[in-house]
Amino acid sequence: ACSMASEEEREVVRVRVQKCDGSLPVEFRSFAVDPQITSLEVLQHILIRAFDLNGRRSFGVSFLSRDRSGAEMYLSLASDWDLDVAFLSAAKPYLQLKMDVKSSEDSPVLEDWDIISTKDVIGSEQQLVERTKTLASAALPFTQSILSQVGRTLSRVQQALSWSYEEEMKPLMPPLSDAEFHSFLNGQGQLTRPEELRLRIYHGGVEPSLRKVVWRYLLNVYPDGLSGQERMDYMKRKTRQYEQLKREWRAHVSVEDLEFIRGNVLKDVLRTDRSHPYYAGSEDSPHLVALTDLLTTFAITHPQISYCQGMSDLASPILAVMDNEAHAFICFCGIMKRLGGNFRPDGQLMSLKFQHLKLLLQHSDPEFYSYLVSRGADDLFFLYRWLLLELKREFAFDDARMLEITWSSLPPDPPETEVELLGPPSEAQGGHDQEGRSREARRRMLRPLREELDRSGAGRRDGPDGGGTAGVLERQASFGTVATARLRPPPLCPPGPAGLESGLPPGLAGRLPRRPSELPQSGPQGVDLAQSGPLLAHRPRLEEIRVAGLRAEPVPTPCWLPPPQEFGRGNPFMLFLCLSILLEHRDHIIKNCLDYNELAMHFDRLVRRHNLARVLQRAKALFADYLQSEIWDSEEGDEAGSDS
Amino acid sequence: MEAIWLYQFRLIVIGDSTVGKSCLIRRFTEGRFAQVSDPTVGVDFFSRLVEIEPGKRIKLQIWDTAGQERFRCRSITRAYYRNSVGGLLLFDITNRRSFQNVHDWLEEARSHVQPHSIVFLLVGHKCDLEAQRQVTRQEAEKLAGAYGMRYVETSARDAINVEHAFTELTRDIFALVRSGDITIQEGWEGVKSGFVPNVVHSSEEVTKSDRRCLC
Repeated sequence: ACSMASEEEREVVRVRVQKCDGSLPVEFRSFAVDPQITSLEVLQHILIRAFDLNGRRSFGVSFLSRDRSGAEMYLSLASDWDLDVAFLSAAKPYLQLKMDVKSSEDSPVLEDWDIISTKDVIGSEQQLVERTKTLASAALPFTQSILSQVGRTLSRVQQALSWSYEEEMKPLMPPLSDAEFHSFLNGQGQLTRPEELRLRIYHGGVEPSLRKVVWRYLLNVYPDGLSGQERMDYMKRKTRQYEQLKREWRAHVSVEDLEFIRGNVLKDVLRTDRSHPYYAGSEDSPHLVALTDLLTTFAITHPQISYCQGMSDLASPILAVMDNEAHAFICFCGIMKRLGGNFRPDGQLMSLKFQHLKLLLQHSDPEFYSYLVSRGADDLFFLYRWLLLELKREFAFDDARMLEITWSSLPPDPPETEVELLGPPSEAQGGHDQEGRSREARRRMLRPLREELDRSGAGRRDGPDGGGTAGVLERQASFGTVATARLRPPPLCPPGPAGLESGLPPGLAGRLPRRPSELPQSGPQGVDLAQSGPLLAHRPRLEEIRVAGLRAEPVPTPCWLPPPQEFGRGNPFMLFLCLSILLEHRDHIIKNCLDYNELAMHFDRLVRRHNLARVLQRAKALFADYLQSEIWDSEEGDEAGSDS
Repeated sequence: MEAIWLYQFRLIVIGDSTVGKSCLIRRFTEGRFAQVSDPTVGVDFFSRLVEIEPGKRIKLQIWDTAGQERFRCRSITRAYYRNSVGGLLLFDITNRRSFQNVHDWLEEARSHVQPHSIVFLLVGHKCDLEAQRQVTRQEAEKLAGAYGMRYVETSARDAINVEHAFTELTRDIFALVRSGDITIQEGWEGVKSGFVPNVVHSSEEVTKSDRRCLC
């Protein structure tokens, strides 16, 4: 967003749109917009109105661009970033847009991919054996397989590390296509290499039309090893189960509770992603009803977490992609298996995520971190929404790539037998009469229980040994034993020799790899450590630490990062996305001396406007760097495996 | 030209979901009204200067909280409440339940800030929807009286009393600060002292203040 500040001021852009809708005649509309205030969402809204589109229909937008030779072509308009490009480069004399309206009949049906011909059955048995092997190796943290990939693509990672901001960003790989997806399935339609599929998606995302199918794998809906036919049967069975649950609402809760829950859900559904075509239109549109029913059913069947604000944000893109309430519900249960803890009343999971993000920031950019400390903003609480919703609201709805890439960074976690659609019963259940129980539940919707209050540990300045919230932190602290210290040399905060940072411009300090001479020359496997990135560069090797200790220099507070299987409590990559966004803005924040409120407002203004390509590229580089520094550090692999 | 303020007050806005907290604040800070806005998750942040007397400006930091969500981190909720000097306690005059919950919100706030207190203003919002009114002005005034608060009815849609509500609350806090009932404390964000115009600064202070950008 900072880079947009210098863009040429243009008061108004004239827009001419042609709408293509199957065999219907092409329609045209013209209007003018103010590029300063027109986001993609706004534009989509205008288009829906201009053509009286029913909210049920989805459409793609592209804009006419001319290259230097004057050749014309339509480029996809899928993010605010694209729109900025369009305004800047293609708005004279007017911006020419093309809308391709897809009716739901046209959109490819998932089952097409699930029916796989049964030729090549013979090969499948052998693959089964191979699969077992893969499973055994999958007992090691998944991130290690990302690692092997990182190893292969090191030069790319390095490119990413040394990119200059002005350089044009290119995605590492095109999105996964239908044909390529097929190559991950065997003759019976079984997914044989789930880890590799995820790595592939991590590097380029998924073609939008494939999301319906692939997201189910990423959200751990399918148990391992289902054939195409079995998957279809499975989804049918789960769908019936969902319909059943939905019919049974009243068996689980009183009329009053049902009304209360549904009322709360509805309040949010009516405000969730309404400017997106899928949810636009009247308040009784079937999509809004489906989202409401899905969330209500979830709340009723999961009384321990019920419904919380933010859940509608998580469910909305899933429903829009699945375009089927029951399927979306099943996927939502899949994602909530991992994220349900974010919404639990005790708040422990969220506290830990804050702790970890704080550690990471402290680690990666001590200068910015101390700035935040000086402004009292090091609690990072202003990023609550980022962590709660895994950045869903920070990027444009159509930047769904962020979601799938994040999900694909996690190891496959298929259900043993099937995805559980029913949560554990409420802890509060028991002796109370129903009326008392529901009053209690409603009170909790409003504010947490008293005993949670006592647990607060409020606002403590937590170092790694600061005691913090609970068990896991203590576990982290226990890493400080000799054995783990040997394996995971703690970096120092502030890092290294004091002068190290000073020669660099503020924006770069702590981010660029050091010159080789400033680094230990090689790792255990002869890997040139100078080739790895900033995180490692900040982390003196054990020898150095010992030496530092012998020299009786002031003992720095060690701050090291937890291993991947603990970092971010189930989603380490998310922390690196958050870090990358913070780093994108740190110069602006420091330069303008923003205080807590101002920097929080700064990020609030950027809701749905962050540049996904930039953030992803940076996050991946930093993440790769973190993984490398962990693993290429000797026997780490075994240790990491046994830690978990 | 640098904006100069005497004090900075941190205000918190609480009340049930969809009573219009975000809309009221947006009307006050941005002068606009949006029909549809995202449900607040966690806290959203706003600020604005108000002039309570000619030349006397107060900078308000306004923290807009989520209405329904139980905060999952107690330490967060605590930090939010504890660092506020004042607050708007909103209900929707067309929604009786939101009025009934005012008490719970107040209790929630008190449990966090004890032994300190927050200067609250009770706000009956959406007063443009007179035909759908479920809470009379009299009973709201009575409740406010019982809590020792003022009561104001506002509408973000029609921009009724929005300025008035924030300014009144600011004046009340200002009076308490001036009388010494509220004091600035190190490590407390509720009230901060600002940069006073027409006062000779030491050169060091001037440099310091120049670095600030309050845009």
